[in-house]
Amino acid sequence: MEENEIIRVIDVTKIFKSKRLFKGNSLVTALDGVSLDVERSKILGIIGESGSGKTTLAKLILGLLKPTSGVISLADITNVNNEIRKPTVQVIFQDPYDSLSHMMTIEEIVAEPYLIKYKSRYSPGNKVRNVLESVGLTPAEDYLHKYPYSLSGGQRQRVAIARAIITNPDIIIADEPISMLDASIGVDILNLILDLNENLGVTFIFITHDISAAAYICHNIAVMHSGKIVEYGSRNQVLVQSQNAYTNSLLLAAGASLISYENKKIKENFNPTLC
Amino acid sequence: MSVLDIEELTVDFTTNMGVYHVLKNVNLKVERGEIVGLIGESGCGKSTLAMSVLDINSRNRRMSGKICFMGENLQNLSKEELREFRGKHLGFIPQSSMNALNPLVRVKKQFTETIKDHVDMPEKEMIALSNDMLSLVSIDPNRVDSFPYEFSGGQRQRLMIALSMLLSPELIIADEPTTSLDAMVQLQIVNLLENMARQKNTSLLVISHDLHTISRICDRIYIMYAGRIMETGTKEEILRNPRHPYTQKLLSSRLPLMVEPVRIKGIPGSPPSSLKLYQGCEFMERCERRSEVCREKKPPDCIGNVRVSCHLEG
Repeated sequence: MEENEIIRVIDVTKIFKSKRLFKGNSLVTALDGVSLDVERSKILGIIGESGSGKTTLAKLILGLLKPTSGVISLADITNVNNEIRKPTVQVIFQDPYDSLSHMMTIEEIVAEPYLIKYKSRYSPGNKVRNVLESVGLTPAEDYLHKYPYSLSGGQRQRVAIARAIITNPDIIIADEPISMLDASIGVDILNLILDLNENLGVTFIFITHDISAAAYICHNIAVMHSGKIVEYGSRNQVLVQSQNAYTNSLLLAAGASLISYENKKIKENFNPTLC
Repeated sequence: MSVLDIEELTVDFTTNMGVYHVLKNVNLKVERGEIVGLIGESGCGKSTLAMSVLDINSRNRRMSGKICFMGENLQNLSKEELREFRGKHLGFIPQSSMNALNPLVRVKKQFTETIKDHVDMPEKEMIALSNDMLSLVSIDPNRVDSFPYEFSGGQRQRLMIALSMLLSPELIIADEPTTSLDAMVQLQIVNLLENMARQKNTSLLVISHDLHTISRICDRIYIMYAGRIMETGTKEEILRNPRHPYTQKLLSSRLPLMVEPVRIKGIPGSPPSSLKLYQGCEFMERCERRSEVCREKKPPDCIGNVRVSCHLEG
């Protein structure tokens, strides 16, 4: 594997068997021969509409599902002590209203992955405080003993991010982290992801159906459609120079935002009803 | 005569946590054939407004003000009369309408039941009417015998649109019709809503938190924050020349699709609690242009010629 790669997905296919009462089994091909290299310390955006296989790909990389065929390999990481290990992966789920336990305080939620990873029995109080402050929940003392129900959607998503970064993972997979949030709050979450990437060098895999969110934070973009990657390249290759019909229709669906877009080609194709 | 005319609507809810002041002196008008957008972020009271018009949230509610529909004050109607009214004259597309269809009942029956409830019509005509509506929203009429789970999210949303327009109501209230759909389907649904409304000259009140998706079909827009209308105007006025600091912030927190990535900022802070009544402007805490007067005095309500509820913009 090359120096700057951290994950390599080679020809991965995932087929689900669905059992239906009286109708026998049917097969659903969620991923169809997907190959993808994820660059180290970069943000990779995976965009596509519902049912295109984005989340299945994320779950395969997380190891929550096993591929039907193909290989997903992780690069070795050499740490400061010259020890070689495999990269660690964390996840931020789509819905911050469902992904946090209602029965645990914020401190317990954020500390849990740490306790599991380091097989510790005591909550690392300082660590939790630092992490909460680094995701913008300041002062952390106000939040430690609260329960998720008393937080707003944006605050909950910040807790989910804090929980993901407490174990210092090398890779974070964010599955539609802003689709449930208001625009003004979603922007702050995206800025937080950018900061984490720039300051800590965390590799992000950012899954979204909103092309403008991908354009805002991603270095590389993969476009998925019905289980295949139809286009993969740097942000500008995909957004500005794309020749792919499907990518262009995703750009059109982003609609109103294209007005500020300087690219002539897209401007000509699109006749904004707005402004 | 306006189709919907809301005057000084104030709604409170009493709970064991205290009194929630959800709507404060809201004035809103929808004219015939007009598409009006009501935009606001989570918890600002936009769904409460819809439900108060339909009177489906009367538990623990205290309401003052006037809601007139086609010149008739809805509060003067009895529960029975109101029930007849809804569906026939007043259509509603509820939030998360993906889950609003009865999962155990075939689509055909859900359509015919709605018709049966309001008008006498022979079975054959009912089916013909449902089929017409289905083809209008581009769903194959042969699928009427399917159950809701056999349709995708976007298709279910289209079924709800067809269902709400079945009896050609004068006004349709659509609560977050595009939320939780992906970008491609959002575009289809918004265009469909517009086409259907313009074709039948139906008035439409679209409620959403997504200013940019909804605004492309709206004639006029109301911006709501913490239960008050902050700004109102035509689509062009709001998008090109927003005057309220909140509207300006809302517009600038849209992610730009640019050749070179640029950083933008959201709105710092969080919305105020509706448990508290504020002496001054609700947006003050998050406003960069606030001054002493904002803390002490309530800005003027948006009514008549007043377009902006802000001391700094007259």
